[in-house]
This record gives sequence, C-alpha cells and structure tokens, in this order.
Amino acid sequence: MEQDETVKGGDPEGSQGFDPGGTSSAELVLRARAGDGQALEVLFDRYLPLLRRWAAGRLPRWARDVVDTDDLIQDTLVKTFRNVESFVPRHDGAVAAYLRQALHNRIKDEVRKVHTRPRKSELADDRADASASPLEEAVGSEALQRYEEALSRLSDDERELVLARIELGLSYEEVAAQTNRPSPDAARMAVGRALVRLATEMDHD
Amino acid sequence: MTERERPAERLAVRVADGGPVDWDEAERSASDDRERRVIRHLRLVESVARVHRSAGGSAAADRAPAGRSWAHLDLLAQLGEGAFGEVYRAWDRRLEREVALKLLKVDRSHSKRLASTVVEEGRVLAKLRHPNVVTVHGAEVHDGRVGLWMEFIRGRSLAQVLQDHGPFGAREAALVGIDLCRALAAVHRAGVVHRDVKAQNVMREEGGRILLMDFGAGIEAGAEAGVRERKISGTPLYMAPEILAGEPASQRSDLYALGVLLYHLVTRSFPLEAGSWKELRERHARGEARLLRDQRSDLPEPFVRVVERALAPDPRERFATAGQLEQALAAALGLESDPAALGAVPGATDLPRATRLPRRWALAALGLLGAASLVVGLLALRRTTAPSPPSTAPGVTVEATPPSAPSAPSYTVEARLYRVAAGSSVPQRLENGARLALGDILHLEFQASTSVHVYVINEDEAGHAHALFPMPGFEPRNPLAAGARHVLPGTRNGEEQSWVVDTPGGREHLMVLASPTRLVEFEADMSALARPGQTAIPLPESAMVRLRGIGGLAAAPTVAPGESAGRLFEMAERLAARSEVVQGVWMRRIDLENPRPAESH
Repeated sequence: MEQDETVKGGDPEGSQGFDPGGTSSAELVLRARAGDGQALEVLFDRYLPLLRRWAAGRLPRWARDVVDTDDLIQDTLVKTFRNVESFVPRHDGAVAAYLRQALHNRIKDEVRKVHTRPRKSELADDRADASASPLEEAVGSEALQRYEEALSRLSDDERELVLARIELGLSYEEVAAQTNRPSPDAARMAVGRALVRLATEMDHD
Repeated sequence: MTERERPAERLAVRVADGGPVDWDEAERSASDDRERRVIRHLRLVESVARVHRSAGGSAAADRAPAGRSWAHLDLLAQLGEGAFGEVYRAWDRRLEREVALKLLKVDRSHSKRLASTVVEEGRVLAKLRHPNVVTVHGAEVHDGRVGLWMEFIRGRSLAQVLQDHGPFGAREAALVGIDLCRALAAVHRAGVVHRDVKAQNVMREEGGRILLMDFGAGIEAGAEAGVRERKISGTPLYMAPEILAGEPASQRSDLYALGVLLYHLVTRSFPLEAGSWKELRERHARGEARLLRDQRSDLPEPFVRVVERALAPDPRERFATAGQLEQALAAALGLESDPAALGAVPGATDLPRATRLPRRWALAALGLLGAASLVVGLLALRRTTAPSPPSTAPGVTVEATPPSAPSAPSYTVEARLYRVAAGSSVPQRLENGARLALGDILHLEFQASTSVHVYVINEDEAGHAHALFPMPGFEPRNPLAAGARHVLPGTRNGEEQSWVVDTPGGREHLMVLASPTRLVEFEADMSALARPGQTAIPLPESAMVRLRGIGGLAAAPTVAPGESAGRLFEMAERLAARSEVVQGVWMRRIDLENPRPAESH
C-alpha cells in the first residue's frame, strides 16, 4: 500500500531555491560598496531569507523576544556590504560564508548584551535551557564549540562547502555554482570530502 | 584520501544528502577507534544539518518563482513542495491581498474527475467561515492545473512549536484541542471530512490563533476515492484503525486523528509507531497502542480519559461529534485548571471544578491569545436612544452556583452587548450572525451581584488595542456598584456616550473583565493603550503577561500582522450566550467578524 505525502515540509534534498541567477553576489557586493542601492537590494533579496532560516537555528528563544531577527540580519548585511573594506569576495560561496560568520558574531554580541540586561520577563522562562539556541539544545554547547573550532581550521574552500550545504541548506546545483564546481555531483563529492576533513579536525583538539 | 577514510567519506556524503544513516551500525563497522571517533563527529555534523534544515520552516521556503503567475495570482515565493504539488505565497490581484496558493499535481489518467472534485470541494470550503479554519478563497482549474488559494497565515505549525518548545502541558493541549474541535465541527457541518489532521497541518498564528489548514490532502483523497478505491491518504500514524482496514474516512476518523494529535502534543510520540503500513495495521490489530497514562503519568486524569476515549479502536466508542469532544475537553480543562495559572484569582484555586469554572472561562482565556482584526471602537457619539432591553431578551443571564470554597466571594455577572444601527433607534442585542456597519453604535450592559472592577478592551487582528472602559471623566467609575444595571461606556457631563464602529476590520475581539479586586498592574498596562478616537497601539506584552497570570494563557502572545482590510461588516458574536460564575476574575471575549461582501452569504 502506498502512502501519499502531503505538501508540507519541502524537499528533503534541501534545495533552498537560492537563486544566484544574474549578476554574481561577489560583483554585487563590490557595487553595493560603491554606493549602488539597487545592488544592495538584490543582495538583500538573495540573502535575507537564507540567513533568516540560518538564524532560526542559532538564536536562543528568549533572544528572539528581545531582538528582531530581521532587523539583526538587515543591519548585519548593511554593515557588511557597505562598510567592510577588507572583504573582497572571490566568488559567491565566499559571500555566503562571510555573511554567515558576520551574523554569527553579531548574534554572539547580542546574546552577551541581553545577558547583561535584566530579563524583561520571567514569566515564560521556567525552563533552565532558555538561553540555549535550538542548535545548542540539539547537540550541546561543548560539541557545538568543537564543531565551530574545527570549521575555523578548514581551508576557505572546505568551509564554504560545509556552510553552503550543511548550514545554509543549498542544493548541490547551487553549491556547485557558488564554489566553482563543474557539476552538482562534483559539488556533492567535494562536500563529502570537506565533511570528512571537518570530522577529522574535530578529533584534534 | 587514505583507504580507511573511504567508508567515512561515503557516510559524509550521506550526511550531506540528508539521507538516513544507521549510526550504530556505522560505528560497529569502524576499523579502529580513530575512525569510530570520526564517525561520531560526522553524526554531530548531521545533527547540525538537521537543526538548520528544520529551523525556520521548510527547506524550500522563499524560493522566488520570479515573475510567474497562475490565473489572477502572482507567485511570490515557493513555500513548500511535495507529492501533491507546490505551495506558494502569492499576490491575489482581485482580492488585493497575499494568499497561499496550493497548486496540485494532476495525474493525467483521472485529471478531469479529480479536477472537478477538487474544485467542487474547494468551493464548499470557500463558503466556510470559521476563525479556526484557514479561509479558502477559491478553487479553479487554470492552465491544466488545479489550484486552491487561501488565507496566508504567518505563524508556525504545531509541529514546529513542539520542536522548539517541547511537549505541551495538558491545559495548553486541551485549549488547542477545543479550537480544533470547533474547526472540525465547522468543516464537518459543511459536509467535508478533513482526513489529514496532524501537527503539521495546524498553525499557531503569530498572536496565538489556532488554525486548521491543508485541505488539499483531504480533497484530493476524496477525489481519489472515487477514482481508485481504497487509496489511503493522510499520515499513517494519525490514522484510525478502520481507515487502515480500508474503510472510508469519516468524522470519527478525523476525531481519532485529533486524539492522536493531542497525544502527540503532550508526549511528542504517538500511540503506535511502526516502520511500515503492514506493521502499523498488525500492531493496531494486536491492540498494542500505548496508553497516554503510561507515557505521561503526571497528566490530569480527566484530560487523559478524554484523549484515550478519542483514541478508542472501535469508532462507536469514540466521541461521535466534534462538539462532544470539545465539551469533554472543556470539562477536563475545568478540572485541571492549574492553581499557578489561576494564581491571580482570589479563591479560584479551590474550586471544585467543572461546575464552577465553566468551559467558557477557558475559552475566554484562550481568546486572549487569538488574533483578530478589528472594528475600532470610537467613542463619544451621543446615544440617540435610551437602551431598554426587554427583560425577556435572551441575555447572558447568569445562574449563581453556591460556592463551597470559603475564600473568595462568588458572584454572578450579566453582560450584553448592544448595537444601534445607523439610522435606527432600536437597540439590538448582538447575536450570532448579526451584521454591523460603519456608524453602528455599541454599548455594553453590565450587572454583577457584587461590586466589581470592569475593564473592556478591543483588540484587532494586528494586535492593536483600544481601552474602551474605564474612561477618564466618565460615569460610572470602577468599582461598579453591585446589583445595578450599568450601561457602558457611560455618561460624560451627563450625556450618554457610546462606542462607534468607525473602521472596518476582518476580525476582532472585545474583552470584558470583571474583578472584585482592583487589577492594579493591569490598569497600568491599559493606561498605555489608545482611547477611542485615537490611533490604536498594540496591547503591550506586559498586559498580556498579566492576563496570562489571570487567565492561564498558554503561550507567549506576540502581535499578529494585520490582515489587509476589505472584508465587510458582518459581525458575529460567536461567544455563546452562556453564563459564567467564577470566584475571582470573570472574563469574556466577544469575537467579531467582518467577511468581505463578495464572500458573505
């Protein structure tokens, strides 16, 4: 007997519909920095949904009550695109990885900031783990730290592959386009190898 | 890559694919400790990937189908995709609002029949209006594809809520269950069986409203049933045993699925789990379903009994109608009202339940969570007629139940909302289905057996609120004298005043609270709200917090985004004209709805 799947839930292959079609993000970043407002708009459209999903796994629940996720992301994007002189993206995968890191840092800052403020309400937080992000809850903060540290020790290319597929959930086609691989299958194999490298790095500490 | 990294690489690719991995087996077959550790690290990476995949909604979210359109709908973003078709966020050029569009895939072999059935049922659903059922705007065949478009809901499915916040308490689950019973009652009344009630198909809108959605599966299954017999649709773990045995879906099988959902909300597991259809059927046949009481022995017995009855293998032993299940849940809720949640209510903790903490209490409390859009209550039109409701009017008459708890005094409340239509001079009590129009004048008649502080707030769908009572400079003032009939908002400088409907809105609610003691902190929150005639501002979270303390709200309320205006002015007082007697705070929510003119019927 067969089972029908309902429409919810999306494609398990994890295609994000991230459409880098048209001008490359790397080029748009350069244009945005030169003051091209339209380029900035395009970048927003391209990265906001992607980073919003990413942030959902990274922001502690209580922080979401205090900080507007979209504001946080937009602010990070503007700062990154307009103000960061040192960032010269080699290709689009580098843009995604850079933004992810910028937002990661920003979230850490925000979490620290909010920690120093009195909590605005104690009402909902009868849970001890309310300060943990969904990701920390799932894997534990020590393990997560180990993962982050190993990630930072990978080559840029390896890190971009891991982030694009594992954290940002891009399809292999998109990963290929972002990291200059000739085909989705080549991207898939490259991600696999990068993951082994990551796991091996996680073993060294 | 060394020879011994190859198995790890195969695993890594599977992790990257998001496919299933038998980690125990992988670790067992590792050739040495180092490889075993690498495999463990990969397993962690898999968890990271899974959290990122599931956080923030479906993986395919926000795919922009640039410039595409279907019929009169411009596709904005793809929200999901599956065997049935795709779901898009779309702009409806006719209704001028954002909608969710489900485009079904149609198998050529029976496309015509399927198409006509889906469209037919879609049109039935489009006539259905219920606050807990996602509004279907229409169904059509266009470009060879069947599409259903409906209200676009911003919020999270219960599956996501469950994942983010862990299992529900019995009270919270029962409140959700009550809303879903009402939704199913409306669906069933329309002659439709939902067929796919599950956590993924129930949304908690930002603002808290619970919505049953996704009729696509149900509709298609219905259509399929006529084409290919005994084709099973839905989600197996939510299926009643008789469905697995090949019987058609029914109201009772929907209610069984709701029972599974309640079970799932409080346990995160299912009464029966199985790896295949065959196993599932066999396990049902062997009666292996796990009792809720074995999974969560901490839950209140009445709630457990309701859920277990909903899950009775024999359909005849289950609740026959959604209304029956609703009633049982409400009774269970009264029985399990959590002292902590009701802590702000003097004397409420010792109530011997069901009789004195009636179901409407729970519903009223839940109402605070419900999103609603609004008819702005504007004030200070001079009432042209003196309200004199006939004493025989079917009012919200209250029958006193003598309290056995000694602490707080019990009291009774009578509250009636009246409307004087523009151009009329006769006050009409607002009943179900009553229609409102701009310029209508509203007032509330209120009487309590004890002296109480009364508060009236109007909140709209966007979470914007007006404080309608008490009003500075008005008579009467709080506390309202016992035993007298008060007409609110009252008089100013000797002139009678009323609230006036000055803005159309989709849905809204009026909230009336009465308390023998002054709710000081709540008053502080209210003082921040707009007064009639001013631009509404959101009800501050602190106010919601206090209300949670008073009424036992289940989840942190957030402000719901406004639904575009354009529905017309049909107001329905959905709150049943029931009496309530409580000790402590009395609360009533009055829901008002204004469907668009084209959709009213």
